[in-house]
Amino acid sequence: MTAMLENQEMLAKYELVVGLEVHAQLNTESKLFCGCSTAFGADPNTHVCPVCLGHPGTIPALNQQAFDKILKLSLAFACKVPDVTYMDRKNYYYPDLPKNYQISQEYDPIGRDGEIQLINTGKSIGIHNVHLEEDAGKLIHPEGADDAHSYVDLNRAGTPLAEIVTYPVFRALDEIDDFMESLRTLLLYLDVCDGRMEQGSLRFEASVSVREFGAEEMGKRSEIKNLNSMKSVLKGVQFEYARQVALLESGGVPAQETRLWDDNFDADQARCQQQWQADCERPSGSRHSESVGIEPVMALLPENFKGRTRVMRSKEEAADYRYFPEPDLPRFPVTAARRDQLRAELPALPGQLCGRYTDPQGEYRLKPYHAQIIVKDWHLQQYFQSLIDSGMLAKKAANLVTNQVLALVNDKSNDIETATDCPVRPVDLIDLQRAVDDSVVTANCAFDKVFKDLVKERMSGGEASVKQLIEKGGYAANTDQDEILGWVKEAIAANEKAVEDLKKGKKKARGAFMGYIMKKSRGKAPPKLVNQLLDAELKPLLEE
Amino acid sequence: MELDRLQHLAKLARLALRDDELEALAQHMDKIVQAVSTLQDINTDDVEVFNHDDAFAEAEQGPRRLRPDLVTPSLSAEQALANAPKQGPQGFAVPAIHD
Amino acid sequence: MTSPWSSAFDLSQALKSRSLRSEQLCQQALERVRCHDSKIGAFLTVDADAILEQARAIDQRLDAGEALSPLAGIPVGIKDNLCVQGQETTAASKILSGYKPPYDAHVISALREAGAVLFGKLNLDEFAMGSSTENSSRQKTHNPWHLDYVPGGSSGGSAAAVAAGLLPLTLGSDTGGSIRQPAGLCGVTGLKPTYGRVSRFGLLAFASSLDQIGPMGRDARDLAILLQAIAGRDDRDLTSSEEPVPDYLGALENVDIGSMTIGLPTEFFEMTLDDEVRQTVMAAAKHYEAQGAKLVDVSLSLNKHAIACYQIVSTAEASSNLGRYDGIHYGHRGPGEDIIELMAKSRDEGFGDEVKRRIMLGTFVLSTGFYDAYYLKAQKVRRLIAEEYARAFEACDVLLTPASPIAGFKIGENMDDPLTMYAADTMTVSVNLVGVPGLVMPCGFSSGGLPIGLQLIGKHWSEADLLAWAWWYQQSTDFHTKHPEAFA
Repeated sequence: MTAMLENQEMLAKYELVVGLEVHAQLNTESKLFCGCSTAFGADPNTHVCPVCLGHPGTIPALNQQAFDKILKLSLAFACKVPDVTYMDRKNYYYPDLPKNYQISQEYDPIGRDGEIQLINTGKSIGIHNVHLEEDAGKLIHPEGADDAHSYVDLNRAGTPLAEIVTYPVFRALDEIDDFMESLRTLLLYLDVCDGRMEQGSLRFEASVSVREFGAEEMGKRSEIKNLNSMKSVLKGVQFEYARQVALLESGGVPAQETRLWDDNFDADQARCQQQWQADCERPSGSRHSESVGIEPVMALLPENFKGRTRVMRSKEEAADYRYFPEPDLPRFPVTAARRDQLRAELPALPGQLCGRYTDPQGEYRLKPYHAQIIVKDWHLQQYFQSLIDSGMLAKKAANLVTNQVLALVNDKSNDIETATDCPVRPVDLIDLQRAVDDSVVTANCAFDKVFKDLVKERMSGGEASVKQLIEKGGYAANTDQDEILGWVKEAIAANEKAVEDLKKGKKKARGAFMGYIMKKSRGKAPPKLVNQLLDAELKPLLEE
Repeated sequence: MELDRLQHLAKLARLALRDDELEALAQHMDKIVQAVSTLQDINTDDVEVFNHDDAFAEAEQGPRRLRPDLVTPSLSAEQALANAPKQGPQGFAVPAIHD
Repeated sequence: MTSPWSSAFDLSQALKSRSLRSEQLCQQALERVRCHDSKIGAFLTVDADAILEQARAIDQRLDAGEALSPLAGIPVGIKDNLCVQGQETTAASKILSGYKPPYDAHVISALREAGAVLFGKLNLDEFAMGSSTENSSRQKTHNPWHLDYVPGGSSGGSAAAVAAGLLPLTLGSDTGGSIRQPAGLCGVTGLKPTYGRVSRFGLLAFASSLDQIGPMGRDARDLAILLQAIAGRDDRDLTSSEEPVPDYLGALENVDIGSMTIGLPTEFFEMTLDDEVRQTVMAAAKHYEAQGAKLVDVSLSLNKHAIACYQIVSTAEASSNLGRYDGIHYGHRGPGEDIIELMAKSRDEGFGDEVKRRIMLGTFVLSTGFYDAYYLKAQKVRRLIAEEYARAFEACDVLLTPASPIAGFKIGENMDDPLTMYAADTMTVSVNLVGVPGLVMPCGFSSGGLPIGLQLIGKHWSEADLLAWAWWYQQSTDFHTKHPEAFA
């Protein structure tokens, strides 16, 4: 108990300071400097040409679309954009970088000093700079220890990236979480990146330092790489915070270094504990002031915390990238007219859309709750918009996407990850809604049973229409007045207590009759008709 | 030029220079650095750097024509690896890299 | 039987009239290479079968009466820093031994398009770094006028092949004088076009902001034919300009020497300069003056800093451009337990001394703490040099200078003294720094029988004028028709 208290106090002493560096793959068809495809998942070294292989004599030819997209992004951040921009070379040797220099931007990035609004809190996060650069290839390390080689696959080499660097403004994990989601959403809205972290299209690196609250000076920061999901970003920062606090408390000093996130680390396992110890004792990591045992770190983390950061070996020597302007490319003017044009073409962004959707004088007049859910998810918003464009009323469309469609997306038992993957197309929902409006089917039945059948049908590639599915399932509304009237009478007779309650003014009691009738009709009695008949039958009873 | 600076430069340039090469280079670098240092005497306050495209920036009115975003045929993996000193099915082979 | 000294223009006429066949022409050239190149060492590779196959294909098209460019059927030699698909391309470096590019350089595609016969790869200083072609990892090239002398460099193979009557036309590349200086020393005509006139795509880069490919041959008219085929915008090199390409051959006749103002940069004639060279070049200026051209003195006072400026900018770019040669993707691989050692050993074994010297200097001038004082400073001085050129061109249409301060030097003479070797480029480097075109042609001979070259420097995009002024000179003199007795 006292130990826990001590730990709490320890954590309360130190402020977490985080900046993020984001690499977002620009969603162009071809690479940044050549015509090779950027498609993911091809066989190794099949999306390559002399240019992206870095062959002697080749010259980069900048992709217009990539340039427009990075420009659009920096305008969306409201960055300062220079009148003339150019590329620089960053020189370092690594086998996944075929030219042994990366074409990037150092001296005059396309955007400086911008900001992004967080969707949840509305807070503004400062963007230090945005710039264009090419991606490197991939190193493949074969499984099994027999092979003394790694292999270089250059399919990804030369893919266009936007690098987005924030100021070190983050002080808490939930803010980082909000930023990552907000940025991902923005990238999708701008149509500059597909946001697929699992394919590496969106990658985060965190630079983390700690300092005592009130201190002016920043602590030495470590940069964490290999964070392959948003969850690992948060865990990596959390771990690094704990490690640095534990280190400082044990009298050590954090080093400025690059560290890798390791998901598989389990501090309870002896093997992992030995690894940790071994890493601390390696020549470069051995300086006592930079290492700390794993136990005091784990003591500052939640129980059963898995994963850790470790020093990246190949980045240990001090780098000198010898940046200079890329002489194989001319400079690229960005005229005021071009900036204005692109600015005018920017799509409405989540904040603006939310305002538009909830405007009490506007055409949508959605509940803020619905509007929030829709704008936060670009795919959902696109789905919603296509329903509106096809003539559906905003409130109905909002109901459909936030209930039926979102449920499909959230259901982990299927492959549907986004509303864009939803097999039920907007046109199907328009048909379904029309069937409800025309009393062909009841709303309950339509959005439960018929919708489920639709999902099955479309997922299996079937093209049956809504009408056909209603027929096939026998879901058509029951419009036999006599039969329904019979059920109405039965319902009243079977629920004397509800009649009494109604007389006392308890309007909710009506539900009992409805439940009875719907059960009898198996959901096929149109509520409108049931209500009419029920009103007529109840009227004399209530007037007694 | 001091030996440790030269060694640092050789490391940056990924050159495994032999001792005799380093020695010869030390002398050469001293002379050449001294020779090029004569530029320091020229006043370049308020002078912009030269741009190699200045001449055609004037010749070309309007925006610079970049490459349209079109996919063109790539090489086959076999062609891509044809010049590789060492290769495997997954690409260019290098000594194992651990990180 | 055609003479080995025939101009490409005359050969072209004969080919067109079918009094000469390309196969026959190429056979003769192959024969001369077999006979003479062992003494000169101009060629690195000659594939006779491939050459004759191209020649026969062109002959068929000419037989069929196809209207082809004047280059059709003419053998053109290629400096070995230009990529030819599937044909070994090494830039005379061990690090690229066995390298076969999977693509053609832009100029090579252009030559194929024009129907020229690609005739072998020519020797050069490794990665074009040098002024004597002695830095080749493969062989030394000898000056056909005197075999003890260097042919100049780095396009020494391209110059010597023309001078010895092996080929009528060759392609060279020029980063600090590499076309013009050897043209001067070998007594042939060579042109470095305006930066951006010819696409560099497929030229093994030495210094990207200075490199330019250009033609070498017997006279200005032949150069016009070759330049016509290779000039113009190429979408793969965004530093190639959209500036329209004029009709170079047609422009040769539109010349009015009487309205020409020739600037003589005083500093070029005051520096350490061989007396014979000064007198011979001045005589050429007087030749123009006699026809009515006006001679004026202009000042290019910053030229004395051009070599220093060039050393910084070119080595900085080279240190980065040559980073790709690491033994991983192509070329020579050295031993190494780990990746760092493997790369470093590959590079140490693969590069020659001069290349390593330049990589080290370039790495130094870009490194933290020195970038501003060296690289940035040099790029500012470069602007001042360019501005001085612009002022000079307000007073004249063209600058006339020697191509080289001396008429030649012996093989081995400067090898131990890189700084003296660098000074061989003192007449030519500023032209690359500024980006303007420069043409060199023979204008006399030294008492030792070595050719002396004259350089004409024009404004941006003025290649047509330079060629016309040079062609006029060549029509009224005969220096360009002389050839070394040993190869007659």
